[in-house]
Amino acid sequence: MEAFRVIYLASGLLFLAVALLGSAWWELALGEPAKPVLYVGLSPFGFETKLLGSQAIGAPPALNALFIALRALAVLGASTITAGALLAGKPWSRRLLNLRPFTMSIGFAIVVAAATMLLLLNLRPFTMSIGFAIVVAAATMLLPRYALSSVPQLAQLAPNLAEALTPYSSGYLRVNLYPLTRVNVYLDLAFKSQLTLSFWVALLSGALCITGWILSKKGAREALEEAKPETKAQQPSTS
Amino acid sequence: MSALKSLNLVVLFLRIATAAAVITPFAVYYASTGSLEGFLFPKTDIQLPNLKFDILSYNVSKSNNGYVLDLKLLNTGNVAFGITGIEGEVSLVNQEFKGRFSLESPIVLSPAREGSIRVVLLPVQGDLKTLEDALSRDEAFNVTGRATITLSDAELPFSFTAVLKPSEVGERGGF
Repeated sequence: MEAFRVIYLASGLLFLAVALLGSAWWELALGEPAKPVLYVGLSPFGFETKLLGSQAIGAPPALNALFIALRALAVLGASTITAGALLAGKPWSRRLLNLRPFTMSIGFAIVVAAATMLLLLNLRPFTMSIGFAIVVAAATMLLPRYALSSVPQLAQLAPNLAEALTPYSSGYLRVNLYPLTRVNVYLDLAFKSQLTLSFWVALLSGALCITGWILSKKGAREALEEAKPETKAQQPSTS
Repeated sequence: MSALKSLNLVVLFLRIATAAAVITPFAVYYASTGSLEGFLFPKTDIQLPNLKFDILSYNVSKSNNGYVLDLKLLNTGNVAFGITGIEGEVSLVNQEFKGRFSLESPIVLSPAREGSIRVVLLPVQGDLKTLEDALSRDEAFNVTGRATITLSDAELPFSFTAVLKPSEVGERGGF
């Protein structure tokens, strides 16, 4: 089996496992990670929030449909990569190879990075207007309407919320209780926000996938260059 | 079947499968909700836990070298609430006094149940007379420390920083 097919095969199998497991790619836990008070998990395949162990907010049907569609596309993409890598003898096997593990994992990373940057730079007018539009759109989809009325007080209540939401900012979320209690009390709550093993496996699958694609293109180019001199050498005898 | 026909068939299959993977979930979810508003912005009710407790009584007594604070709490919320650890420092803002406090026994209260916690305060710097005089004049004091509370089955460790006055603590009587 050619090298690029072996790499594609590994990529396809890894991404298939990630898509079938469907666990969170980014997660946030408030409190003890083993017994969190609040848990939020997000991946291209689902969104989960748990407050004290029970589901707090359900994603709207439109988002659920999107998550299922993305999961189905991921399973389809990974299955066709695996089949394409294994069916080396078939002339159409290359058509089964695709870059879905790469586009999906990079796409998710870009979305997370963009959201983080918007949160961190939210004081600038441009990012604030763009960020506000995205946050409002997302919040309208994900949060019940009455929760939006409390957003202006959020910055006062949790001054480092943006930094705490950044992946790998594991630490403490500062809560200022003055607006609630009129007493100068600050709480630093144990808080963890991280990209999970599933995300890194998906990213590895994407990296393997793009490597396989590069090797495949390189192999095809070399084969074409080898074929050219032979054609030229055959031309005098045929004429 | 020629190679070209096979290739076209595979391409056609991939296009149909991709379109089906995208369209089917949207069609099924939309059909199950029945309206665009229900599909995009459904009405959701969140069952938020009600965390509330009252301080029924508190008593401060002298014991050995320090103070013992007895707090009687009533869980008036709808989730089990507990304090499994507290430790920290108390210092006066304008006087030379520093003390350490710690929780003697953890407590977990089911809804509508009451119980007591005991916190022991031992002086580290300065004497208790200084603290007593300052508190009787309603002087501010700093409290910093760490605690772990339990809410239902969840645990929330946190650290706290507060500048308080005895009058503020007394008049609140709960959170």
